[in-house]
Amino acid sequence: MAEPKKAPEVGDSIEGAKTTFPDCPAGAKESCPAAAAKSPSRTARVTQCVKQIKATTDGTNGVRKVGGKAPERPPNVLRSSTSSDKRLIKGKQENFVVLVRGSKDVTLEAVTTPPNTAVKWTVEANQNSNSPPAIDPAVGVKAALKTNAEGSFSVIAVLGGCKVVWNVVFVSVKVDVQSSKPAKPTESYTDDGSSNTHTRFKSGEFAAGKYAWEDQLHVKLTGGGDDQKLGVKKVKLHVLQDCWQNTLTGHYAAPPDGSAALEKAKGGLPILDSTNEHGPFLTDSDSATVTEASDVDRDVWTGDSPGSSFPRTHQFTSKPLTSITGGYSFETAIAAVSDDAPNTIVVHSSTKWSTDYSGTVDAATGRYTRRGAKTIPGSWSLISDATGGKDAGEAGIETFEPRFNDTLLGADYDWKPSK
Amino acid sequence: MVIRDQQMEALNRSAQARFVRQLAEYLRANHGSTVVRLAHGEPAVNAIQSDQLESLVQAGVDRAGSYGFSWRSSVAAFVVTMFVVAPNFHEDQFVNELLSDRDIEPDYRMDTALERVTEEQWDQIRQTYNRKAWEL
Repeated sequence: MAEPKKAPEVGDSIEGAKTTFPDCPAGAKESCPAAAAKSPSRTARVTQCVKQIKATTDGTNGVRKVGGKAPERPPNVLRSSTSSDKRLIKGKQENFVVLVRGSKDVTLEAVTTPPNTAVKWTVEANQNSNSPPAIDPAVGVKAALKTNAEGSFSVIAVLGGCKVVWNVVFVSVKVDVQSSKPAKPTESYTDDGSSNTHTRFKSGEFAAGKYAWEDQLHVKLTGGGDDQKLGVKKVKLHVLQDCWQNTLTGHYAAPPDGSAALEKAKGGLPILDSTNEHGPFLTDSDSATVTEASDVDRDVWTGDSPGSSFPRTHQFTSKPLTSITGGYSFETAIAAVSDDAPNTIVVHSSTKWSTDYSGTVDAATGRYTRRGAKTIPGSWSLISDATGGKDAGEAGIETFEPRFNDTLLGADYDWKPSK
Repeated sequence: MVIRDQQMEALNRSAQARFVRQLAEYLRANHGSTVVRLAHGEPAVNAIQSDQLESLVQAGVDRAGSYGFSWRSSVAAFVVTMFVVAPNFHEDQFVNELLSDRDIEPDYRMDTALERVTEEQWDQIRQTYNRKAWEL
């Protein structure tokens, strides 16, 4: 007895119908070459598919060039997606990437069958009504996604009947510059324990109420999802500080007139002024703190009392140090980094302030005495308000060593006379 | 020669009727033994009278149109699926999501179903066969 004929699989039935009838309107006349010509060939359509979206975003580069090139951080390899699910899932199955609004563009790449087939890219708001960020090109294997939008979004890659969704949350970091609470500079510029060889001086203490400069600001984070909190916990605030101008000069007794030592940063300016070699930020609790006032509110405090020193005698004339003029100009910035893109530092607001160490030095003891020394505070301003922030390197804020406070590599002197 | 709107409509109607006949013939030729569960009986496709079969096909074409399908290939795939799986296959939640996916152009959505729905899932959808769906 013959075996009963097995029913064709549904997939084969659908495929059979699709290959028998043309890709032209059902109401069209018998032959429809014009309509058919507009669509991909049937064979291509059935076999073409987008399987995955890969994503990367460049790291923050340095500002000062070494050997003609600024140092670079490696790109962040972001979570990829093979799913078409737009739902934003938290926890272990988390299916979204968190980035700081205003960071560098995201490079998206579609993995397709056959390889390197252009897909159609679109972006839509997810659980909000915000305008989605631009993506360019609209059709291609790769596309660049802007980050200047706030909230959660779904990037959709479509090829034929296939699609893959890549969900992203852009967390907005809004610094309330009006909330600035600068402490009145103490101007306690004083000797810092000068020795037989060096005159040391400082602008204040690293203690409450004794800072040469300090300020506190309120920052609000806005994330994705219905409650606008999604992704906020992954964004960490930091304080970055650079010295961008150094006029600190030690003046020595004549002859010759004009004998001096001008302090200079090794490697040029701007120079990073971080706490230590473990990162670009101010991390000591006596230099910067970030306090969580609520799920989305942060209070950022930072303070500094920079000091320095000069040799008590001129390197070439051996004449004694008699006075100090000039000082440092700093830029202090509030920065944010996402756990998902640790190599990218985004800055949102900064202020420029300076120290002027004008004072005299007792030739006999080497002790420094303030004579007009002061701190000149500045006001805070937003960095690239339209995009919600900017990559630190692109904003001209150095995040690479050498550090200013590195005793071996930080600073040197230009001597007059120089021999 | 100027073709008036009415003439175009007549041409379209004529072409659509021809497409329905072709699709009915395709079903007889390729799925003749497929049982169709109707309100009054469960005949195989080959046992259904031509005008009734064309009426069922027309219902399927109209249903496909409600999803925005316009190509003959995608409409045919939709109608064939109604016969080989269930006339209400498109009401399955997962399939309905695929066929309503605004990210995908309508005429590509049967390709999506072809890609995403497994034979096991089609079998499960068969279990929900609703013969009244032919009458809707």
